[in-house]
Amino acid sequence: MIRLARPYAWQGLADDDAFGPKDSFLARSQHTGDIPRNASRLLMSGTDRTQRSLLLLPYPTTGTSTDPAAEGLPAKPKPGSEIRSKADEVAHATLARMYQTLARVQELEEALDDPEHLWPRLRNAWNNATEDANPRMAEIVRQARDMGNTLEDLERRLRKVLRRDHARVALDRVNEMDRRSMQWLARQPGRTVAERAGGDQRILAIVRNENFDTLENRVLHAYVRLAEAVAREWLEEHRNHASDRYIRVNSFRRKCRNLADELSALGIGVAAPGVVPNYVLQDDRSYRGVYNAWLRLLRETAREDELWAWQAETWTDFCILAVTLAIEDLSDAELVAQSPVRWLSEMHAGRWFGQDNPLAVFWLHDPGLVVEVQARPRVSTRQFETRAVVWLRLTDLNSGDQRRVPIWTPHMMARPDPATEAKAACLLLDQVRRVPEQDLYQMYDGLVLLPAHGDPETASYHLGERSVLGVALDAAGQGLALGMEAIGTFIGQTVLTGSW
Amino acid sequence: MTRRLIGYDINGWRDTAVRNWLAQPGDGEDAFGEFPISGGFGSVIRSDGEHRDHWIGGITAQLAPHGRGGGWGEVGRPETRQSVRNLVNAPHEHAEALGASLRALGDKADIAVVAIDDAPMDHDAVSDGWIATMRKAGHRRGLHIWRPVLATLSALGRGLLQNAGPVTVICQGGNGLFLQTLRIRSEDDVLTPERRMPGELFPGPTGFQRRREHAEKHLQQTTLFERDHAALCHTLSAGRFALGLPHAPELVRTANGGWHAIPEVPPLPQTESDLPPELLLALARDRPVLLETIAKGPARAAFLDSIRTHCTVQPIIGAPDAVAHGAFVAARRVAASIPVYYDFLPQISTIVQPRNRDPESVDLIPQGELLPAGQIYRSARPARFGLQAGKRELNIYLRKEGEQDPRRALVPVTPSTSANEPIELVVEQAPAEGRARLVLSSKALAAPASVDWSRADPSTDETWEAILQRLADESRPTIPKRLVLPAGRASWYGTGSFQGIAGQLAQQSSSTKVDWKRIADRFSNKIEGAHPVSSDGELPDDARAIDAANFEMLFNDALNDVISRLNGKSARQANDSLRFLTWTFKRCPPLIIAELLVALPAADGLDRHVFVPKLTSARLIYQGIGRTVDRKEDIRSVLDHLAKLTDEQIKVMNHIACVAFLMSRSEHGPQVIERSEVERLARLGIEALKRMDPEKPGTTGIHYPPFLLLGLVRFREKEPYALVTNLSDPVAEAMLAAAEQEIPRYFRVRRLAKRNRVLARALLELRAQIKGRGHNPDILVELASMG
Repeated sequence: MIRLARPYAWQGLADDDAFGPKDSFLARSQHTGDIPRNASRLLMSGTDRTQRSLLLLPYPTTGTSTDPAAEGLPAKPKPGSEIRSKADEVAHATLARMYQTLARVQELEEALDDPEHLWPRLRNAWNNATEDANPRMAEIVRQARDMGNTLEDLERRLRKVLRRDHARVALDRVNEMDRRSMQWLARQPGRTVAERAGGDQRILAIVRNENFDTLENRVLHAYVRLAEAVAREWLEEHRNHASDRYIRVNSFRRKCRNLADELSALGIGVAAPGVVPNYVLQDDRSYRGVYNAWLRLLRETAREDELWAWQAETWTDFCILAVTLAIEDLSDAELVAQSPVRWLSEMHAGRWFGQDNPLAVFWLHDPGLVVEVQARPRVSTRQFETRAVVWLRLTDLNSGDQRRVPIWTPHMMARPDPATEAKAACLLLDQVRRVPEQDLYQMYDGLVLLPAHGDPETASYHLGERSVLGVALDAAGQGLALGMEAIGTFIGQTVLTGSW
Repeated sequence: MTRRLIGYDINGWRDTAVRNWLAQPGDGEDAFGEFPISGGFGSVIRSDGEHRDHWIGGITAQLAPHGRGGGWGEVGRPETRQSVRNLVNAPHEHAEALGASLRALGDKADIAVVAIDDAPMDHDAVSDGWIATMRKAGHRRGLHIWRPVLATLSALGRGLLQNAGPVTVICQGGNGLFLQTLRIRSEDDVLTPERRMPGELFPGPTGFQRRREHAEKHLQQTTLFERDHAALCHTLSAGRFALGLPHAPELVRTANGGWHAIPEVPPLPQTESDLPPELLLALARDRPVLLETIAKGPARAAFLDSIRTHCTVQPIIGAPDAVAHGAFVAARRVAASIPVYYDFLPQISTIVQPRNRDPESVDLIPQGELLPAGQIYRSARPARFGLQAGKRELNIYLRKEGEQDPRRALVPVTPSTSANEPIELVVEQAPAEGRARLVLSSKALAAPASVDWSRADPSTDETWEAILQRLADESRPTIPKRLVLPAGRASWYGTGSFQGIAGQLAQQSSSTKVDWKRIADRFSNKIEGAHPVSSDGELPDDARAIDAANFEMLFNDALNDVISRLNGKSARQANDSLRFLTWTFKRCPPLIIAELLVALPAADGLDRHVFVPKLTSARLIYQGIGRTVDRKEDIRSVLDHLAKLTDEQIKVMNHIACVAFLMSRSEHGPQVIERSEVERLARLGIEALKRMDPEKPGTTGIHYPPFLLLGLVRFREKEPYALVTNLSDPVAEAMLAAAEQEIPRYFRVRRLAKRNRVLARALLELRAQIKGRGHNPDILVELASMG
């Protein structure tokens, strides 16, 4: 296995070098036995035996790791933690970027609600993200909306149990006695019960006392504590917003904290994750709602680690959608076919949806061109050598000629320089065209999509007939708007009107 | 929280839904309103995903490369794609795939409504299929409602229909037209359709199928599809053309991976198609007509024009999304607890057996019962039935309107019930869902038992009428066979040392003076258990013609002899010629029979008659009547005469024998006798039976009481459930008691064992018959042969 800092890097990292914040965590393997267990496969080429793969390795959540060797990266902030240092600031910014990227990808799920208008609806949402200062949607925002009434309902009618305790009870109040209280009575001096009851006329008997420390209330307590922490983190991320969402989450956080105080005062413990739900948690509507919301938040926080480790995958998915939207946006593009997008019920190694290839096929009537968008496809040897994960396949309907456009989507923690990246990619592209290949197609242009870290920029590099455009873009705000425009221009001008 | 409502029109030609929520990308919240969602031209694909193998429907499926030919590689295999129109009529077999179609248009709704064709079908299976399908789409509550009802609801919702009254609805389908007539009811200012009968389908060229076939045929002719039929079947152009949508450029992938633009399909040549007469009749009625079609353009115009020309009033035309919109209106009505529509309940019948009667079919749903959709009908008053004592299980037969075969269910009951236990039966049924359930409650059941139509055994291959007939046959008490004593050949031509009467007949017929006594004796005697003439008056089949002729001559002579006596021309007092005539049984001339009846009062000493020169002649009169009388009026007059006599005047050898003969030998006897007469004669028979002494030798009279009682059992020819003990019949109880009391007496006697054994057997058979299950239907013959 050879570790690569860039998909278009000429050379791998030296054995004693570690990945740093400026590096993509990539590797190439020569055969299937060469793939480490924690790697995710991006590209494959060749038959089963001689299969070569491009691999992605996970970012360490702590900032350093030995497998893969990495150091100097930001560590994932803990839930609810505050910013105390420059490093914390970088980490929180990285987290915010990760969530922005994720939000764009997750908007696909909502757009899928009306598949006929999938791409227009998604573009609409992305357009909103370029200008709107609305803070990102998150599970806690949803819960702030849905769980308020449930919490109020439970606050009014907390379930309690009557516990049997022993106490000295006035004779006329005795309802129930057990073995212990009988023995106590027998030991008392006197002949009649009245004599044995002594001067205060009380005997030991069973009394029923209200008790709130039940499993369902402990789960409620655990939930409001967790929700409060998660809400605090979300509010921290959007500190400067004064939107409805912010106000709602803030009021939900206060409600959770008040309820948590109340529950503590009633002596209710905190349930540990993994409790087996009892009858009430399964059948009482409100308690069930709380239990499910708690599980979702727990899952969400647990998932954060995985998201952090695989944010490069989320970035690639974001780039795929960006490219597809840019083509769909062309004036005479007609969607001819589209692979079913399978929204995964559980995020898997940073990926939220699965799809077959080609993801989408567009027919551009005017130039008479068919454009196929391919993501993480099984590729030819020459394509593999470019190590691009996203491809456009163009077919001229009139001549039958074919072109392929590689799109690199490297992700790194520190902001890269688009000009440098474009140059490196272009050099590789120029070299790769010499790799022999059975299929007849040309590769002239390429695109590199990079994280902009709030500083969008484009730079191109030409080498003979080859040219590569480097675009640094963001998943929200101005960085998204400019990035989308640059991609659109690249596709509209460079590719469609380019030389054949 | 706003409830999520959705209405579907999944027809496989162009699926649509209307729903009230839509996720807003980036917003995280659903918008609420009225959102039409397209499902495309109805196909589902099977995606062999990384994680599981599952179906995908709707627009996603329409756009997917799956099943669109080899040019798309592995996913292009034809088996990965199916047309919804091939699945939609059998949802019970394709719940998974159709569930994907529903999911694609909207899942996890609180209330979902699906449209179903209003045409004859296996309704239970289709219902179950849609229920399962809606479960696959994660809906909380799912209803399936008839298309015409939904089209009407849409018209009501959009203000196209505003008045109560009948409305004719015609829907255009894939294979023809559907006709239904609904009535709009107005209740509390809400207009609600009411469905009173199943709709009808008229197959014909007006459906979309013909247009689709035209398009496919045209596309087939283009060279592109010669080798890749899968690609042809799923082109959008064919789907668009079928529904009359304008042509849009379409690019398809050829088998070699290239691209090909599909040419425009030429318009369908106009064909004149006649509407079926039932449709014309429905259109001729002066009532609003509502037309529904999902088609647009020329397909829509062709349908509307074909109907419009026959309409007497301007038809109301629903929008292409009328059914989906109507389904949405229905869901909204359900959410607001407003009746969606009223439906008739298919009649459910079962079979019960009333006391003393044959099993009969009972309808459990009152005539004209209607019910708001989605509600479950429950009988207002339970039907009450009795459970026969000693039964171990209840066999319940069910028949449902619209279902071809009846079904059967077995309910085990506690067998120890001594008395007839009442059972209460309640029907539960939901109109469109087709489910039907009977709930039986009774003390005889450990807990109320329920019989589910869908779980009852459908394997009975009998018709309802055949079941009724079989149950009647099984439950009716047995009846002893009518007694027919055959004519004996041996009587005519002799056996062993005995010479037959044939020679004697020849001799007597030629002589001038006939020895009537001798003749009568020969005819009254049995040789080998048979008389010369059968009890129906027939001669043996193989009697020689000459002998038969001699018999006829003698017969005429005897008749003349009797007539001359009646006319006073002969002073002879001997009744022998008359006796001979009575021993020819039913052959006896009507004249003589009439005269015998006239002589009846004389036989009881109430009058005088030539036939009764002395009191002992009474036996001949009565027994002669018993042998010869067969006409209903004659039997009636004998019975009327007996009714006038007191019990003391009734004699075993005369009256009892006479009735025993009439009841056992005549076809009409059991039909003519009345129940009161049966009761009296049974009582007299029992008394006579008790008087008999088994130890006395000779057969004279001793077999007449059992003969009478067994003969009376034949009264069941008229009343099938008469004289059966467990149906609380006092006469039957008395007969049973008498038989049980007498049987041991006949068995005890050592002497005369042969005779008494026959009598004991007769009494055993009588006991069995009274219990309803005789073993020996020929007992009367056996008893008669004894003499």
